Amino acid sequence: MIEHLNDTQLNEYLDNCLDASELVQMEAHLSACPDCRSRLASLQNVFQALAALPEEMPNHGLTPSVLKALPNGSSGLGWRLAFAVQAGLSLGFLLLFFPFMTARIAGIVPGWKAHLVMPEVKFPDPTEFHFSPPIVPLHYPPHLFSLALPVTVTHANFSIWLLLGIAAVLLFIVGNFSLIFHNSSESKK
Amino acid sequence: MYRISIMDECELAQRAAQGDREAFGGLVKCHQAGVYNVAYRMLGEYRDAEDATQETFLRAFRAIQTLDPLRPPGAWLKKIAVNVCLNRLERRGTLTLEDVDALPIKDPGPEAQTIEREQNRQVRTALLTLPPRYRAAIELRHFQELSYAEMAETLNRPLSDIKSDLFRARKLLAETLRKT
Repeated sequence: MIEHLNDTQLNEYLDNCLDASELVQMEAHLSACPDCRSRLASLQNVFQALAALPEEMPNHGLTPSVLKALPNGSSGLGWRLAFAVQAGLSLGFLLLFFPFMTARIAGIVPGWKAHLVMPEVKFPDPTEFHFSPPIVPLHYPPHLFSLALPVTVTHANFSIWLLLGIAAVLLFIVGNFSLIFHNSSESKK
Repeated sequence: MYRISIMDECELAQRAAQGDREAFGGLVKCHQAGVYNVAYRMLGEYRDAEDATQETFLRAFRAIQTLDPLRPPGAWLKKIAVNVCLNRLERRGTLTLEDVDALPIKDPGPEAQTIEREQNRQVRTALLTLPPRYRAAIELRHFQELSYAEMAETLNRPLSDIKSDLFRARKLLAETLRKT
């Protein structure tokens, strides 16, 4: 004869999780032990009470409100595409703009150390950029990566490059704020 | 209640996974009562239960690609509902019997009042006084009829913890029901 049944045994018995030999042993014990039978009956009451709980019917307006709250299927793709374009354009503009601007500022501000002010840009030596004629190709320091861009920088088109840079920064800021706003409004839904 | 065959449900789920909102709407109609009841049993308050139902379907809509197309979506939706409710309960904390009595209960109407037995009210009240983890264990085992292993997978917790929670929850329920 086994000792009194523990809670695990009683629960596993009710959940039909015992193997045949354990089952025989338990039923033998239960038939002879009123204490364990009483504890088993108490748990069986819980099973019966839970099984007797009726289903509640939701309000009729629930389905329309759920469907209304669903995000528009195409908008997710549209937003993702828009953000990818925004990120690509920003990156492209900034790649063109930063080396040029740092070189320009280095020429204007005495003691300007671009690699100290903007270390994340990783263009520590912008001195390869020249603005005096003749026209020179814009290229990045070869020890970072080699990229010969099909653009030229002169004094004449300086304002265009400046506008390009400002556009990149604005695009970056507006794009990221839109992304944050979009994600925040989606998570509230 | 809106009912369709399991094969039709799987087809709706497949179409919904391809972006068909109308098909997803069919799944909502079919399972809103089941999901709502999971939420109502776990949260005990009908407005919270409606919000949780809405959140469950929203999450399901976003994750519909992860649904196994060969399995009926009802069980999957109810598992999401349990986790949605658990998150809400963690923010809310455990209720005492006094807190439960103060919850706004949906007016069952004169006909339903006569049908609904006092024992059901007591069982719901006892359920609401359980800690959230215990409530989830009761929901998954008794109402969704999951195995211990499936419960552990759904709640992402060790099997031993799940069994311990379930057994303690039953013991607490038995004690509470005995007192009432």
